[in-house]
Amino acid sequence: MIENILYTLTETSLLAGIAFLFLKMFISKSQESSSFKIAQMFVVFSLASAVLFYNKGILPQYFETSSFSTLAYGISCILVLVWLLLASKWFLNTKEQSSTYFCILALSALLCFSLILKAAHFGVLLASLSFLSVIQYCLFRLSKQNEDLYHAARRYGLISLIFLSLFGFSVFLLVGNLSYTQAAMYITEISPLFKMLIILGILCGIFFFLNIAPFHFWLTDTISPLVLPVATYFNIVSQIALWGLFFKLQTTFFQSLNENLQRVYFAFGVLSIILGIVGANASRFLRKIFASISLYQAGVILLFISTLKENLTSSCFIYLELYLFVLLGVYICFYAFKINGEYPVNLNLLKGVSSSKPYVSATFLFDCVTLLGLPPLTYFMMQFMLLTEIAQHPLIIYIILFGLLSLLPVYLKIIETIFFLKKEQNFDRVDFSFYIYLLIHTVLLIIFMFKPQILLLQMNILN
Amino acid sequence: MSIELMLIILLPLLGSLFVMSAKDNLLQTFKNAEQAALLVILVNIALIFYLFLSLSPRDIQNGFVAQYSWHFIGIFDFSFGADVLSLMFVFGCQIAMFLGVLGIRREQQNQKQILVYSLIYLSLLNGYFFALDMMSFYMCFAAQLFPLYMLIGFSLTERQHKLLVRLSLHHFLGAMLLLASCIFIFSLKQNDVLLVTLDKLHLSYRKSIFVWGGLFLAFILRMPVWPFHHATTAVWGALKNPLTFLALHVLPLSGIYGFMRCWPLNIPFEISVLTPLFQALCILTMVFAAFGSYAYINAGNKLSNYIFVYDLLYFLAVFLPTDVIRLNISYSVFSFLLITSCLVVLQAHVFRESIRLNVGIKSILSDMPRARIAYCLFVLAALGLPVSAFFWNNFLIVSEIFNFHLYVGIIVVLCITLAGVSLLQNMYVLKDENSSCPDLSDVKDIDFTTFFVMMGVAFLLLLSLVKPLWFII
Repeated sequence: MIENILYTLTETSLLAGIAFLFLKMFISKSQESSSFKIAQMFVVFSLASAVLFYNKGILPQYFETSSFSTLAYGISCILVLVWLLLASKWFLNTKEQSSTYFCILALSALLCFSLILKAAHFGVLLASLSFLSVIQYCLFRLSKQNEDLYHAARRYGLISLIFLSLFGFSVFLLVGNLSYTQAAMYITEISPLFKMLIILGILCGIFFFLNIAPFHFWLTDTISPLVLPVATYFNIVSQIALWGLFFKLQTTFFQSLNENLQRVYFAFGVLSIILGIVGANASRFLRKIFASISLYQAGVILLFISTLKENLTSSCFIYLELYLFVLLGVYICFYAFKINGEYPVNLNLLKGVSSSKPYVSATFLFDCVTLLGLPPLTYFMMQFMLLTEIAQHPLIIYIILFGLLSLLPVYLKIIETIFFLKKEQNFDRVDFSFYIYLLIHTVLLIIFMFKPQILLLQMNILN
Repeated sequence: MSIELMLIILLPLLGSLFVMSAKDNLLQTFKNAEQAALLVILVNIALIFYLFLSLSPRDIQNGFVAQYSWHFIGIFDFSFGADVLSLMFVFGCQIAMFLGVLGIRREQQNQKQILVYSLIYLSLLNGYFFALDMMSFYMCFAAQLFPLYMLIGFSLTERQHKLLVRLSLHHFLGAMLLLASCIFIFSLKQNDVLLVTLDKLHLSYRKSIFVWGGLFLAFILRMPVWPFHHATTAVWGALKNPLTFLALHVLPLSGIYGFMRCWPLNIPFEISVLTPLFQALCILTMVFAAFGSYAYINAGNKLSNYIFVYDLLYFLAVFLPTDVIRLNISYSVFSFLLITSCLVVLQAHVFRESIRLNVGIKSILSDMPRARIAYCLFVLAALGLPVSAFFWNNFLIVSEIFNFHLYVGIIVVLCITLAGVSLLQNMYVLKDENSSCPDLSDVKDIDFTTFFVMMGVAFLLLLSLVKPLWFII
């Protein structure tokens, strides 16, 4: 009994944190910033217990705790910690009153990630995804000032309901064979029509959460008016856990269907790359640009997966991790750039920012150049290794490389605006802690550049 | 021996860090930064001399004098080495950059940033010329583009930035194609793919098309060959900063170096079908560039077209089915770099003065005795008169072209002559003392340091006339 309680500490600590913050919200009227510290404390506790019991769990018919799920959850925890850190600065600056509520949502989202990553049962997965949808809906509605957001949240609620219904319908069609292994066996025995319906529902549901084209519009079109911490969540924080789920399903449930899914992944991958490129080139809104770049990256990962090469999922996971890490640097810069207390959304507002904020601009430039895949930076190394693995698929290599080339004008446009154009706005003083975050981020990127083995060590866990 | 190589590559990078740490917009800090940059390049020149001195006569033909493997990335082993070919290119680039740094002394805008990025660029250029294996070669090839983009971006006006995007797209397309080639090569052999062994790789028909086609286009995209010439020439025409101009000027030469290093003597059949087409395009572009220089009144454009013609001459030369003139090409490129760098710096000075005093450039050299002497000397050297080192090497190159195809040779000689005469015409306009001109008493001559460095360069060219590698034995 005590053992079982200990094994669930990862989740129970988060539940305790949520309960504590609820109490605080209703009872105490103390400083709002303390909510972030409390939330971070519970996240650290949850992370520590996850690492401690990395291969232990309860209810094996519903949950499966593996080193992969622990790794993905651990990275999610770290991302949530950084997110809370950045969000606390945002709340401090904007004087928003809902910080405790925000922290509750953050902990709830992390709880969902834990359940999603550990799930070995479609019923549990459906419930966790539904819970996550509700949290994401609440995050959409976090800022009550903007009327557009209200409509965006409603639209999101409706679309997520449709996709969850599709997912639920597929789960219903599995007729009781709900654990991943049972479902994988069952699906090989049923008629092609049923098979197609089940795969379609599950895949569409997951692709919706992963913002893969053509199911990405709910995010890329609404990310600009979202408040910055919520945009950070959708673009960075949620990604590792959701991709972790996809990779897990890829190696369990979809394993036997890979031959059938190869073309599906290729088609979705190419579509994501094209729409990502078009979206990034057509927009001058910073968050939309980077959301579109994320769409391109999602397409790239799908193309890698479509080659069905062995062990490529683990390399893709590290690639994704690295991408999100670089993107995190970009978002830290977004938090650092402020004009009269407002966070600039349009690229035009950043004209000539390098003259007044040279260090933040230099880091932003470093991140952009890294994302551009210029050697010898870490991102290039990872990309090169993956591309070498799929050298027998020249078409995919050329699609990825020309996609990257098509994103070049976007990066050049950003660099031109920040470095070559004349300054038009006066930027606020940058909080000193952002310099520290950026320094740590840059130093880590440089370390990864010189010692990529540090990242590749994860391969042992992932394989 | 290996430490010298590493120093030549890394010193400019360290210099750029020093310059980066200098405060903005202060004359004194710029002087410090400038002196640091000059010192770094001077040390590099001294190191190159040292490497040259260690050459034996046997090494001059084909041996490497120094080799260094770098394991710092952990996954790939980078190998760097130097031979006469690479040393001549590196030497030329150091002198060009040295002159460029001297040339921006009186520039008003973004001096610090331009110095920082030019030193990073120089470091990567050195790495590129010294690269022995495919990975380090590609890395330096692609990474050069970023500092170059920044350099040009800081030197252009807001309206001209569209040109830069077009130019960068060309260059990055080349880098992507080379990356694709690298990927196919690495899929065959995981590490240590040396450039000299590239033609010995056993590639399938499809892969050989991807590999050789990618390499071919990657280097071609650095050349101002039609239809890829427009962006390069447009940016050349727009650039007023001598250091940036020289940085961009080196880029086509790096493409030529790429062909010299990677391109096998027997062109792969899959690509050989295309080479006559590119040679024809090259000759056509050369004719247009040679005649085009007469269409411009602007002295800067005439010099750009002259450079354009010579780049294409070297491009034609590296494609000849022989490697006997390979060293002659490198000697010629060395002299060419020296001559054009001096001319670029002098012309930038002349334009700056004409803009400052709000007068035309006509007979502006008449009140600049030092600039006049230097300008006349280097224009005469650029003409390729029989008493210059430039002439003898070009003579051998053109002879080989004649040997290859008579009509092509005739066209090439015609183009070179036309380009040279356009420079003479330029010189006549700048130093015509008979024409009426406004008061030029306030005009500033080039400073003594620049003048003496230029005379040193002229002396170097004179010694090269006697023997191209006079400093070795």
